[in-house]
Amino acid sequence: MAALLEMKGIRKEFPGVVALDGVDFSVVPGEIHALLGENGAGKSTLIKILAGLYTPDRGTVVFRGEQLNGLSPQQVQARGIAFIHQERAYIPYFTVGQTLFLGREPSRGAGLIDWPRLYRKASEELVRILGLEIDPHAPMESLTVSEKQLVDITKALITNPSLIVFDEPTGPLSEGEIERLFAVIKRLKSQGVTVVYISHRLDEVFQICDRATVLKDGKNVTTLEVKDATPDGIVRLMVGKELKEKFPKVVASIGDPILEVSNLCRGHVVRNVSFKLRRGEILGIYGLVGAGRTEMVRLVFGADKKDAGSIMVEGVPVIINSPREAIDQGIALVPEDRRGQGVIVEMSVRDNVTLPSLKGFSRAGFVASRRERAAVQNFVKQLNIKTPGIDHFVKYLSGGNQQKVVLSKWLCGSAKVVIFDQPTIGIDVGAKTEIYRLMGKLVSDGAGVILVSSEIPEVLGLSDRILVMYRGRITAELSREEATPDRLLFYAMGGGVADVQ
Amino acid sequence: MHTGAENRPIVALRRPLLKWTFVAEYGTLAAFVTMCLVLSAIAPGFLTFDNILTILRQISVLGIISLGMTLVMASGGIDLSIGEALDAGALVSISLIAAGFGAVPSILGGLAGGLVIGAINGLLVAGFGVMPFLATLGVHSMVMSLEMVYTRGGLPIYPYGGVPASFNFLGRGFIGPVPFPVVALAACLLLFYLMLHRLTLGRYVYAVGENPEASRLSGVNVRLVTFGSYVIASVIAAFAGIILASRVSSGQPLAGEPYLLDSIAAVFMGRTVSREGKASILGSLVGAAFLGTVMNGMTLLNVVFYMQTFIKGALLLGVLALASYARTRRT
Repeated sequence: MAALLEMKGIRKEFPGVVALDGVDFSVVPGEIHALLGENGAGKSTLIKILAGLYTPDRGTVVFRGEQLNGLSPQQVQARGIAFIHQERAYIPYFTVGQTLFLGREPSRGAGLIDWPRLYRKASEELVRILGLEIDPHAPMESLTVSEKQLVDITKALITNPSLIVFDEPTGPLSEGEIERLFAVIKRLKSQGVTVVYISHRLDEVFQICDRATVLKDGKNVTTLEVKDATPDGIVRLMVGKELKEKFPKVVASIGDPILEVSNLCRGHVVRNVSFKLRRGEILGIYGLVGAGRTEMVRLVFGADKKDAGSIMVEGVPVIINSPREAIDQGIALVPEDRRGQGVIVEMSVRDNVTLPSLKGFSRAGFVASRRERAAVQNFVKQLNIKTPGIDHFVKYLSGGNQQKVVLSKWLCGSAKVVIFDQPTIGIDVGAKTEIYRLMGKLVSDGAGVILVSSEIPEVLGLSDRILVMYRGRITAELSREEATPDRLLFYAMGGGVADVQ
Repeated sequence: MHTGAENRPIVALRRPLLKWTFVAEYGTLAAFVTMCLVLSAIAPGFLTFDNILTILRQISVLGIISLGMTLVMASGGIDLSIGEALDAGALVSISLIAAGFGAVPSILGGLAGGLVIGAINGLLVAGFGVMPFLATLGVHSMVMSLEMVYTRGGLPIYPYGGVPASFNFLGRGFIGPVPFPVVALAACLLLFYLMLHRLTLGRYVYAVGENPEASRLSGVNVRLVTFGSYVIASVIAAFAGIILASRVSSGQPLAGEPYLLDSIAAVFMGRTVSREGKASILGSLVGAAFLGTVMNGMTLLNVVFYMQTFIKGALLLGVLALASYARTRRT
């Protein structure tokens, strides 16, 4: 069968990374084609190239025999390709009808909008396309996440596209809503629409997809028929075998529990999470995007409000309702969004490092400048932070050095439990190794470390024990010996849960 | 290495005469100094001890209010009701004087008036999460209306028995040759300088102003810092209002309004003085002094009254445009 979409030899390089290296991707009419791969495998880059958001360095994109290279996103959509993103921007106070026809409102002429006709058409299209009975007069903000997504799909389908791309559509949805989305996708297929489905949840792929293309590190691994494949097999293809980077694992003597978390809950994002962290231990937490890892550690740190759950530090129950209370208990968080939450870029290295512990550097409210400067100088030297001086603004430092500033903040306050959330994102290899060494130093000094990471080699290389999260729950606990890439990914994709069911 | 040394003169030849980095960092100060020099040359009596004291006295109220505005803007907000906090200080204190209270209870009463306005602002912004611009705009319009009701349509309040000398001292007294308002400005400057640049509180204020979420995750009590900024700003504005009331021995409704935009202008101008473009106490002082000196100079030069605000606006824009442009060109 002739391909509907043919992407050939796509290469895309970003400063310092080759995101795609000669990728081929071919979709035949009428199929549901899964695009699979770990975080960072190149899925989103490939789709952004298709959408006209990125220009490939090399390679061609051909859709229905026409070359799409160099077209703008609007031109690509006009040729019949629609994109459903995980989180789409919408105008909260616009009604469903206004949203559906934004930019192509039916007109009475002279620039006047024909409102009755707009709302009548909106109702018709909602029913015709997806069988939805949503009031077109309802404002967008009053809809549930799932309803918004369905409106979004309807909007995309009004123009009768022949290819529709779903990018991780089930992330924010509940089980029931996912069922509904799948019914919609199957309905689209029966109407002859071709679907590209991006996900890293294996069960979904087996439920609805016909074929799957697996990417790894920006390269094609294979394209296969889903009915001939097994979940284990696909996982192995996604992970590959080689672990390239080196991890300076420090084996510290593991002592008493330093942090005990029980039955932590928040909405359906974090469900009943319990675990223990011991002195001298690095506890890895692995999961895919949307598994609830960040949300979970934010609860431990008091950054968000928990619905239920209790926390003990060194065997003593503590109340943590704010970051301040967590900090006072010796808990520290190195957040995922470094520039947004970790450092204050418009302040100096000194201001940043002592911010959580400033009280300790003050007398009667006055900052003890000399003592503060000496302490910060010491951290700059000890952590090898590359900065012209401690009064230099953090925005001028590289990502790795900014991360060391975040770490200094917590070392300065002598934290007992340090939570690292994706600590090495966007950091060069040299600085990565230094951050790993600092983690090692923390545990050998008797602290406990929680390492949240999406990078399997990192989790495997550094952790003494690994918890795997899937949809807000801990689905597996593996010791360093038990853990393998296949197993991590298997549980992270809900493998264990499917077995239980 | 050799080639680098040989190339150096050529590079030097290409160097522009005016360094943008210098303009970005010292442009506003240079403009201020230049203006003073020009006025000294052309305006009779500008560079005299008495006139300098006059300028300082004239900017004392604006200077003090600008300190409060600096604090609020450093914390990431803005206070559009700062003029009404000034009015509260003036009207409450003068009403208490009129009712026969002494200077001390009247002053405390005036400060309390400012405190109430600051607390409402702080509650709206820090407690309810209303945007600072809108919260203080609402308070601005409500208090203005109350003032008109209280003064029966804008009639100034003149205490029947006159104003006691102890209260009068605030606006009209001298310490040595220096008018008391100038002493008050100096004292407030020192106080705010310590608060914003030496105390832990100041560090928290800037942190919250730059990135409230990162501050919260560093254990800073963001709400308390925000609330406190509004309260302190309003109290200090009320203090300025009391000085003003003492100076004119009466309570003038809506007297604070002109100070709102001038104080914002002073803070913004002051930001161009700081290397990283931050609101700072000394910067705002330069801003307030700039505005005050322009007005003084024009009076000395007998510039037509209705042209004065035009020229003030033009000079302000000129300095801000130059400093902002220099910042984009800075290497």
